[in-house]
Amino acid sequence: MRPPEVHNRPGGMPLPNTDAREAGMWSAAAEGRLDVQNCDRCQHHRNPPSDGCPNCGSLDWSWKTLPGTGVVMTYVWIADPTRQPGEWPSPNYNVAVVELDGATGGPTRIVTNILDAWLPEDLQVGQRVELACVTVAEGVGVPCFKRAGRIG
Amino acid sequence: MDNHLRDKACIVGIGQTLYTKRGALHEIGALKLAVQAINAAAADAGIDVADIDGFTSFCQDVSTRPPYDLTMALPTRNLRYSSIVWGGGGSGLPTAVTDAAMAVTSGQADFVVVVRSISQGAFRMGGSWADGYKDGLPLNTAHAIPMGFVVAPAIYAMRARRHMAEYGTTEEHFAQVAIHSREMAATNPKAVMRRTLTVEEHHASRMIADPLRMFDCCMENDGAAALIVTTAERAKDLAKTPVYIHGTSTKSVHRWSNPIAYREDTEYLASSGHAAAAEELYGKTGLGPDDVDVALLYDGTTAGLLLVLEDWGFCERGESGPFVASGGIKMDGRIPTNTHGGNLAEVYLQGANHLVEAVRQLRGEACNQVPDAEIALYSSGVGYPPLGGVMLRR
Repeated sequence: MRPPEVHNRPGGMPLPNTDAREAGMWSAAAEGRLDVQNCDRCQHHRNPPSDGCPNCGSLDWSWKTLPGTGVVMTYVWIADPTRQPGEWPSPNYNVAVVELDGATGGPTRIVTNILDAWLPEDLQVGQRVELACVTVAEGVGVPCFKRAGRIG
Repeated sequence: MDNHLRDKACIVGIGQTLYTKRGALHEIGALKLAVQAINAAAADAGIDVADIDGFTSFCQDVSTRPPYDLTMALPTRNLRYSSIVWGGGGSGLPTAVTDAAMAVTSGQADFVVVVRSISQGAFRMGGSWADGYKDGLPLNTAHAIPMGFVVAPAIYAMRARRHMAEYGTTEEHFAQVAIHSREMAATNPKAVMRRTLTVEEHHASRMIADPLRMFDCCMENDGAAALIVTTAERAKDLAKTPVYIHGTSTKSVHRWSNPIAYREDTEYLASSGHAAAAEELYGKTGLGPDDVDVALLYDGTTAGLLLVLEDWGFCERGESGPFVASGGIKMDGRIPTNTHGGNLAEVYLQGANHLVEAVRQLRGEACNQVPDAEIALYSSGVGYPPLGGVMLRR
């Protein structure tokens, strides 16, 4: 059985960095938002965060909230060494690359977990997903996703 | 397209140490292994090792011993040049070769050795990335590690999955690459993994990063390899048939700044990022895939080799699975590939061993010799830029 409150996330992973370049994404996720860097000059989005814009070179940027929907471009399954046999619906967690809707510029993708995908048949390239943030520490969330119906 | 380096520099000596499984040469250590490989390369070239006056390498890690350590153990008369590739990791070898060729053709040094030595007794290249970052996560993986992206094969597995979804590539196709590599290694006395492999054994091996299994992944090894580069003029007087550096390219595709599939155009997701390097190197040399007699392609995983084959045009995009399954990379196939067994079965020296094999092939000294091979291509694998390729000719 799959207890609905159980999320498929890997155990034993380090917390994200929380320096100035990174913190905004995690604090937004703790509040349930997907905030992604956006260039103040050319308005291109970018992820992972960087100090300058890879489109125009500007060092000025702001966090902008995206809708939090996207599509799975690819994914892997990895065995979680912290799981005891039978304790979880699957011994494997997934890591997915999701291309984000609403981004300006080139493809803007995030490396994430699809929380409600446990078994091979739960996940496909092309799967539509929607934001489902997980708080991992006080004020620190990570933008994860859940499946959103149709294969897009 | 200008090719200022064309045939101006040669590889004149190759050297290798014993190759073993991870940690078995810990007592010797990476520094002494490097010195052994350099001595062997000098002997092969017929030069006095003291005449080596330049050093290049790639993939800076705890195994990489700098020239100030090497020259404490070598009778080096003049240290005139040293460099290590900035970035690239295991993909940096084409830049290291370019650097060596530029150094000797510009007169900055006379004999430059390209060396890679790995001893994994005290550290492990195949371990988890989740541990050991006391001062924060490194920028290039900071947004992937917290999500569990913590094993190197996951880089390849992401692209392998995409390739399967786009083109119908299968685990059976991956298995055929592993089987071929073992077949080649079986007749290579230097190879670490000389036992042949069946599809069943491949499929029964442990899943590492689904869809990739243990036998899809390269080995973890100890060993060193070295290649000596000098000018074409000097090469004429040396012991062995010179192998000419016909051209190199170190160009990656647009927006390829990280192999974790963050930014590049969608068409490159199921690729190794070498389309631009291939276009540039073929343009520089006036050659195409049909001119290449033997390919030595970085094989961090079986799937990675499929992607590299496509990027260099040995088969159509998406066709690498059936291409390999129908024998395209075998000795009698369209492009004999990794005739030494590669990173999968000879030794994991991140391509330094592939370049050594390219030289053996062009000299006619290979264990699985491609008859009358004249042109060899080396390509790096899925990884950080600078990646690229090296075209060699005899």
